[in-house]
Amino acid sequence: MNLEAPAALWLGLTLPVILALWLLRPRRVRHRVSSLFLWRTSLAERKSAQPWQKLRNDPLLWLQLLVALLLITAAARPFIPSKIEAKHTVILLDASGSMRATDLSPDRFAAGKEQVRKIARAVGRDQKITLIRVGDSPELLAAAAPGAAGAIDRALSRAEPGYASANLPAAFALAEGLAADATEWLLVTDGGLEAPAGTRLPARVTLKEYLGAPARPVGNVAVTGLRVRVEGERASVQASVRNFSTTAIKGRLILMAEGNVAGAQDLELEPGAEKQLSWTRLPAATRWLEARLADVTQSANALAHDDRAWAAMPAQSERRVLLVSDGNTFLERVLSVLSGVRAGRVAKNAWAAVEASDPYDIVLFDGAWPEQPPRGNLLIIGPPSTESFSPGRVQSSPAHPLVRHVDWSDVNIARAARLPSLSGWESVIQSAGQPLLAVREQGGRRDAVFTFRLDNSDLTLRPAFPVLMNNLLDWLAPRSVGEALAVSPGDAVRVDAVPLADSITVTDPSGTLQSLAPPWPSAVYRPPAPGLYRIVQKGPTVRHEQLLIASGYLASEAALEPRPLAINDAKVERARSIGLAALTIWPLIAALIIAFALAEWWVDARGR
Amino acid sequence: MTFPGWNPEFQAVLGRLAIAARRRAASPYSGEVPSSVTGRAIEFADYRPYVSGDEPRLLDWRVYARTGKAYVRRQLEDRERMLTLMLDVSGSHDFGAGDAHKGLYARRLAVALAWISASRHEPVRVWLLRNGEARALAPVFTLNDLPRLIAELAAVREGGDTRLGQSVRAALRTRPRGPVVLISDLLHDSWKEACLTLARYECALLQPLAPDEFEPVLDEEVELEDVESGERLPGRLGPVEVEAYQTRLTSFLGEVSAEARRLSLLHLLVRTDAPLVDLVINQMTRAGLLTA
Repeated sequence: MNLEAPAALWLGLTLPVILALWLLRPRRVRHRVSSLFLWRTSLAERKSAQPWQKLRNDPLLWLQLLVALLLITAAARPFIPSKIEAKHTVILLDASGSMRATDLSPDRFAAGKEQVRKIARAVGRDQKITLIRVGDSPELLAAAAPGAAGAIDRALSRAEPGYASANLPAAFALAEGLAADATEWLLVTDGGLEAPAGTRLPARVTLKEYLGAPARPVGNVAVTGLRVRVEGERASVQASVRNFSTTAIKGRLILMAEGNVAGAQDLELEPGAEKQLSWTRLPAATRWLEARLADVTQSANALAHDDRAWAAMPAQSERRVLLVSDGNTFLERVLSVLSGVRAGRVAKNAWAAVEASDPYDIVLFDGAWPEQPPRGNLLIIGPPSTESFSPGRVQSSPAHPLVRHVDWSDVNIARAARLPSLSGWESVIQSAGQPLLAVREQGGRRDAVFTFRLDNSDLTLRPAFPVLMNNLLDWLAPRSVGEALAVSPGDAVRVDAVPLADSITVTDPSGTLQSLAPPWPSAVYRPPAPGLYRIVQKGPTVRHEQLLIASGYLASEAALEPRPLAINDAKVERARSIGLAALTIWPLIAALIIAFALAEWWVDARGR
Repeated sequence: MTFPGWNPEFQAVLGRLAIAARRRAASPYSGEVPSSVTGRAIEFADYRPYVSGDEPRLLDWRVYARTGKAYVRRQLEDRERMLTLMLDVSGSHDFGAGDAHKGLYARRLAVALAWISASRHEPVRVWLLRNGEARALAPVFTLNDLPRLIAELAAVREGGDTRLGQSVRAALRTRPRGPVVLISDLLHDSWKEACLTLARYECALLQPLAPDEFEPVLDEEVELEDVESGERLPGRLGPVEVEAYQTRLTSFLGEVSAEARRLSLLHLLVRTDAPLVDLVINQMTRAGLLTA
């Protein structure tokens, strides 16, 4: 016999309390009499100052103790387990976004955790449980832990639901790797999981899917998108709202501009319908917008985190490039045709003064190597060198983003310079062990160098030249630096440092600040929840802010109705509740309590 | 101060009643009650030989004609008498619920007796007894004085200790000129002393007791509190204890009755849940305290 709520055994402290009450003298009821003149002889022998009395062997006492004992036992909810017989059981706990639905109190994930606790209490001490949280990436919460011990409880206490879809194949792979001997897998879910094609379940395994969601229909309304278009100084916004409920809903969509209400529209949506709401003539100077649902009844909208969506105004970013050259037609030409580039040229002997007064994102040296690095990122083409070599067969790193879409097959190079030191440089294109194109990152800045002069090669005549220059400029001054990043919660975000920045911080929606750099390169950031995050890069003369939008809407998670889980030919048993107890004992105990309470009443009434 | 049953008909009945005169009046003032003082009156007392100085018109000429000796006829004079009401207002009378409150009942009873007396043109003096002292209220001579007495009694609140013997003695420092009625529960060690002190007078003891004093309420563990002294007595109020108390009460009442008989005092036990009208018209008449 196991207990569903063993913590209730603390109620056993009531037994000594009952005994103490019987040992204590009852509180005397005060009766007023006209005079004690006639009472003295009648009550004199009853006087006593002792607060205790001898414990009487009273049937009432035994009945009260018995009833208390039964109440404690019933509160601990004893049952006789029967269903789980496997020596090793894998429990897969769905932690996808739909598990945050509040149609169960407090939410589906908490109900799922309670189901897991019940399973853990149902298994014996010689049985093991491996518990895996199935989120966008599977997480091992407990490996081969004894069920009756508190390991599962402790593991569950730190488990939280995610926002993304559950990665079922990865979870199966982890379970297979960790519990090769387990033949029974229990999937505790709300029924919103989908197994992609090719998902494989080990042949020996029986998967039992337990649906934690209630049988009644549950609704959800989501803001599925928010798009902004800028025309001159005005912007227009279009928001999409979809009703995933089986009933029509009414509500209101509020548009916020940088935290201030910019507009609101009523909306009515039929079941399954999607509607677009538009606002026009908004000021384009607004940096970000938010659409949020309001006034939708709780029962029709059980999922809260997809009720808001954010959008940033398109960035008007432009990379400034300073060409330090005495004249190079090819470079001037290519800089003039690349989009998002504003270039200027200066003579080699005057670049330092120009760059000091007005920092550039990229400084491009043609045939020169600056004694002092510029404040912006650096691109050197054909550095002067005392040592040179004749490149032979060219080798490139095809996976490197700099050589993406670059065809080197027909490029010929006559002479190239040897770099004085290869320390810190990464060779992207090389020949005979010497780099032709090398890059490096140092303290938040990026440098690149072509070791050959353009007039020593036919690169400028090939299609690869503008593509390579475009890739190089994108790498040296990323185009995305000025634009908002849109990701899903939990996605990894790598922030590209702007030139001259010496720190990168991110501020989450609650205002908490987190440092990403230094040290360099900056740390990967994963937004933990939907919302608007601010990434700020600071340096002595630069301050750059970038928005990071983590959207909470996912179509697969917004639909809260349970869907049958199909995994190739695997057999999936499906049940609405976990039949842990073959015999639930507490109703029997409750009947006994009533019987004994009646007996106590009868004994008490008889004694009066 | 009125009470249930106090109405014009009851007042008329009271007007027809009188305090029974069990002794002759001793007042020096003439009145309506026969006294032991001989003088000019209707009621014959006896004869005595004529002595010089006697009024000749008092000579009984028929005796002189029959015996040849001069005898003077002596007659009893009617003298005034005053009703003295001694009302115990100690804390033990602050007991009982509603109309059965002992103090309230005793004050109403005092008003009824004062009404009877005043309607017979007999003055009434009321003493309030408590703390070993006696406080006299202004005497009542006529029915017109009764509203004042009623107002004074209505303002009385029972309290203080009893010391009945001492209080009675204090009240008797003013010699009563007529019947004395003591209204008290006698629940004090000095009750015998009070009775003994009153034995010299034409006295009636009216002893009011509340119903709860006859049948106490049963309870498990109790702490009895004396409403007069505040003293507390813990104990169990089970059937055994209650029976013991009732035995003690019966014994006490019998003792009071025997002592009253021995001292020629009229004793009447009064239950405060009995209608006052019934008490006055029936019980007190039967006991001989009142006459029609």
